Amino acid sequence: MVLQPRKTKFRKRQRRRTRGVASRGNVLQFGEFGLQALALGAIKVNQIESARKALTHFLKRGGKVWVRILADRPYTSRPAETRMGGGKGDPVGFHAAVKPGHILFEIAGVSRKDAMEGLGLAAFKLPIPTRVVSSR
Amino acid sequence: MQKKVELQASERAEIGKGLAKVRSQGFIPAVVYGKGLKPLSLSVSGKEFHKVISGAAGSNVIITLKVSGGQNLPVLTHEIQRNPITDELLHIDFHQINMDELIRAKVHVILKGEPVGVKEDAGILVHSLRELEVKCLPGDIPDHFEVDIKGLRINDAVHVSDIKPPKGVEFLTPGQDVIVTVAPPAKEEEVAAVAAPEAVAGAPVPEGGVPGATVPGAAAAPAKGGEAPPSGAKGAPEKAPKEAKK
Repeated sequence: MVLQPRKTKFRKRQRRRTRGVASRGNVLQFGEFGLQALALGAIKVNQIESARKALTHFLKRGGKVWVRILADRPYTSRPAETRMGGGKGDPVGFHAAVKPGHILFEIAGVSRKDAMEGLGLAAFKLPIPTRVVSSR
Repeated sequence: MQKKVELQASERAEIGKGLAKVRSQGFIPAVVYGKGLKPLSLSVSGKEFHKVISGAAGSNVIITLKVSGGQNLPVLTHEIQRNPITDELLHIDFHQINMDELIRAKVHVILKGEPVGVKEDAGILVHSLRELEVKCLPGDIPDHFEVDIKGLRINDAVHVSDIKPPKGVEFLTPGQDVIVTVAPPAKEEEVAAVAAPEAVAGAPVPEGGVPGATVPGAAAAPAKGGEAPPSGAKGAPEKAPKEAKK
């Protein structure tokens, strides 16, 4: 299961403009292959979990997977069919702010062909364009 | 052992936003610093620098920087900044060295062979340390360390202490650190999730347990207690707003 904060100091958080490229987390640290973000984006917990499941399910009993992002920013949403006003919506979940260049997932112990296919399946679940990088 | 190479560098006056112009001309902004040396802003040819670091020793090559002012400086590359998307070289830090003084350097680890644990038992090879930090004279920096992993079985590991350093080289990475290990094959999560309900159904139901769908008596309990049929439950939310109005 993907990690997310159990409790936060403040319930809601202001959105900030994100720009630039990732200066940290942009190098493969653990595995041989990784999925690298190519655009700015906010990746929700369920999207990370969905991608992780797609990857581990494809790899079956082979390989080891590392999730390099943490969804730690709360986001809010207004209930359906609600008129405007009445203050800010309620927190509904967490997302991770990702910059281009950030490594999202890493895997080890699989062939290049399997890595490309597995990470490709994981990429389908994410809202931003990505590419596969390798340390070889 | 180290091979010495030469690299032409010219002093640079452009800083900040002016560096875009330097890069567009095929040069890479660089800086050289060291003990007793005033930091010098330089620019080096991108093509030539690529040739230098593409050798077996990677960035651990002793470079003689020929600065346009007439200085010849023995240096090591200390940091190389790249654009994470395009892999374009952005900036280089050169560190001036004294050939008689001990220095710290990071040396790559290369694995040789395929472990038995991976071949026969479907284990997963986890290469956790790709570089080792060493302390030695600049001329003694090894190109790389080779680790033979053919004999590794599942849960076997190679530690830093298992490698014998060459003469004059001392490891700064702790000896107990794991370089490579063979992890047991991971179990697929879906298999475990399906197995769990079967195990519960087969086990005896505890006395104080919460009644579930598999317990026959539990399904009848709400019907006895409630006067309305199951369809009445749907009507309950409709009545609630009327009461609220009153």
